[in-house]
This record gives sequence, structure tokens and C-alpha cells, in this order.
Amino acid sequence: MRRYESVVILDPDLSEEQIGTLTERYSQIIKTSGGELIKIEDWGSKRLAYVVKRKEKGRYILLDYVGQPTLLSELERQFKISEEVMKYLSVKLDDNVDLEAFQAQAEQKAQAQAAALETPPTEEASAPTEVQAETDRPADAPVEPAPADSAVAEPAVAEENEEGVH
Amino acid sequence: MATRPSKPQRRRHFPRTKVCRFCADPSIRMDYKEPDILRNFITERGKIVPRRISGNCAKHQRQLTTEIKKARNIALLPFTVPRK
Repeated sequence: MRRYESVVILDPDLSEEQIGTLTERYSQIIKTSGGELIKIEDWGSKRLAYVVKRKEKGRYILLDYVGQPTLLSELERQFKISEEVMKYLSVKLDDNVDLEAFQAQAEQKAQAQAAALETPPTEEASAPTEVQAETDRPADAPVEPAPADSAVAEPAVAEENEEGVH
Repeated sequence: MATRPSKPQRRRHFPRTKVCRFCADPSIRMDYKEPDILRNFITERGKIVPRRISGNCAKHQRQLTTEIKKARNIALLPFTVPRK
């Protein structure tokens, strides 16, 4: 299994529904071929650096997935066929991805995220108090301990001096 | 008295310490998906800035060119900027 990433430039005039059905179709292709879709990023409509198919703008979609090389060729075939795809670029990110290990990782991440989602209330509750404590301390700390130290230090020095004199 | 051919004018040389930016700061990830970083290494006309100018090390320059070329392919960077 290999990890790929495809950037697809879609027609900017498509409706959200059409884009939804297209991304759905691609994720279906990935799943039916035994691959795994890791993420879809929608970069929104961006200005193109040069005119493509007489359009100044394009809708960028990033697909990140794991699959066999045949999956890539099938996806690229679909990109070529569909009129909505103006341009695409596929990049191999990794050879020899262990899909099961990857899924396990994804699950762990999901669990970690879920845990993170559950914990934030306590973290947020504790964090501000810590911050406050920290902000309080530096304000007080330099003022209070320093005099205390000097107060302690001075008598000691004075005693030593007295002893020395005696 | 024959006029001597004037000494070839010394080229003014500004020695500048050039450090590969990607070696200096490993946190900069060059990626074709981030054209803003790559844009620092192309000229106004869209050409890739040579290594002797940019000061990149060979390894990073090689990576950079492939990333710029990928970015060009998906219209994030221009192949050329036509003069108007």
C-alpha cells in the first residue's frame, strides 16, 4: 500500500452540492478499492497563476489517501473523464504504508482527540488558575522575598562583623 | 607615448555571507502546497532563482526546484509572467 496525495482543481462555478457529490464519488472509489481516505482538504476558490480552461479561478481540493497503485490510475482516469476537473496533480508521499498500522494510529489519534475534547474543561479550568498564580507571583515575588532575603542576610553579615570585631 | 590599455576595472565585489535558508531554519518546510514560501525563490518573471544568487545548498536547491515545478503544475505558481 502506498500513500498518495492528489490536488484537484475543480471548476469554480460548481455548486457546493456538486462538489459534495464529486468528493463523495472519489472517496467511494478509494474505499471500494480497499484503500483508506485519510483526509480531504478544501482550500476554497483560489486565483490561478495562469489561465486554465479559460478560467481565472479554481476550486482546490486535496485528497490524502492510502491505496494500491491501481487505485491511483483509476482515480486519475476519473479525473480525466470528468469535465468538472480542470487540472490535477498526484504525488506519492510514502511507499509501503501498512494500512492496519495506519488505521490503528488513526484510531489512537481519534481517541486522543476524543480524550482531549473531554478533558479541556478541566484543563481550561486549571490552566487559567495556573496562569493567574504565575502572574500573581512574579508581581509579588520580587517584592517580598527579596527584602526577606536581604533582611536575613544583613543581620548575618552584621553578626559576623561583630564577631570579627570582638 | 602610447596610451596603455586601461586596467580592467575591478568588479566591485560585495562578499556576503550566504547561508542556505533551509539549513539555517529547519522549521521552514518547502512544499508545493505553500507557494508563499516558494515565491521567495522565483524571479518576477517566474524563473527559479539560481543557487549562486539565493545561496541555497545543493540538496535544498534540488528539492526546491521539484517543489516549484509541482506548484507550477497545479497553477499555484506561474510558468512565466508575461511582460505587459
